[in-house]
Amino acid sequence: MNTYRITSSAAYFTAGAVAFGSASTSVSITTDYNSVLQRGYDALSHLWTLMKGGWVSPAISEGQPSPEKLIAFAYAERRKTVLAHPSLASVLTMELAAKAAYLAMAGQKLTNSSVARLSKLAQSLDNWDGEGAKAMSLSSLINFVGFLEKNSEVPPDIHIFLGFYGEIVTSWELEDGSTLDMSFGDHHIELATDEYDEVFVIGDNGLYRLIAEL
Amino acid sequence: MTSNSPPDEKYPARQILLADNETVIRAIVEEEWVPASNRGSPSIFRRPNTSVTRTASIGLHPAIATVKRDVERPGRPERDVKGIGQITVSLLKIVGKSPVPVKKPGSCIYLQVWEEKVKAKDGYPGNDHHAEIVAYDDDTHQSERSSISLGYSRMLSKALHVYAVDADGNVTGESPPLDWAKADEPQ
Repeated sequence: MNTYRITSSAAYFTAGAVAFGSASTSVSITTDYNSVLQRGYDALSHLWTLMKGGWVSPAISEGQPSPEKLIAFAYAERRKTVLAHPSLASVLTMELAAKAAYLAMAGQKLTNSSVARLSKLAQSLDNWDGEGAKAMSLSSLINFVGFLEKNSEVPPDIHIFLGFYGEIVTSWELEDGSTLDMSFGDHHIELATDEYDEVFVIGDNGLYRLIAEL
Repeated sequence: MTSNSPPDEKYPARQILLADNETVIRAIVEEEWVPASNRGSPSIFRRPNTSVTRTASIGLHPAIATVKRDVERPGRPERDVKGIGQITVSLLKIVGKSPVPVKKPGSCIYLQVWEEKVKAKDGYPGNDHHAEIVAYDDDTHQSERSSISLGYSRMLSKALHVYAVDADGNVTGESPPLDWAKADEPQ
């Protein structure tokens, strides 16, 4: 049995000149698959192709690699990359692999349509609006998935958007019929309702206390 | 939305303010669109300056065609315009000056809409009806804000009258303002 622990801190996702920022996600992965490293990259590429083509949710696709395998693979690839003093190309490959892994994790919390939307947004390129909007950043995705992991009150079917700065923006309806809007950036999570307009540093548990009160 | 061309030299940026009774439209691209409700993202006004197109002299549908032409340039099919948000200058200002959120009111934002014509360049047509929404810290309009909070952006988004448009620019649906519907009516 192989056990990996992924703590998505800035240290893990900084390579070369590229820093993906900090995040609070902390995920423990235990897997008994021994062929992860051998099959990993091919499986990941295949999954990514499926996501691009039909926005298949990896969590429910029979015969597809499990999210655990993908995350384990991403971690292993990251270790190899660091050891090899990566070139920019390898960093980009790592970012793609990490995004796919985190999308797979999101698939465990969200409906097929929501994770399909998230997957599609993850592929929007810089300047997607014609006015200089940024592509989705890896740290935004990490912070969003970390939030999903820590907050069980998020409904599985939510509206998801891309923000001008590459942040992930979400919106869902609360029990009283009002909406809760959130923005997951590289370093902050913002929350807005009819009564609140708050900014939280990543890791601030005040966010979760506030959401529990809504 | 705007062309990437610089402003026309005949009309230097930020010399002419739009009147309060003018109406402007903003493109809502696929990344910001909710097809089920014909609404835009709560974050579509977060950027420091938001490009809009004036409808006064050309009407709504030609303005929609202009916006689509500028945003959906050949070779960039990912920039699909799914919706058009329409709002008056006066309503923009009213929303910005509203002290919200309720439980912890922050600083208001002071919005102005400047005429900013775009000249043709590199084979792309200009836009004589282009303007920009600019947010300021106070009513002297000297200090620009670098961004708009999610709370204010979502209020502005809710104040839009939104039209869903198809690939040809035809209006296929619409959604009236979710809030502020009466704020802009003549007193």
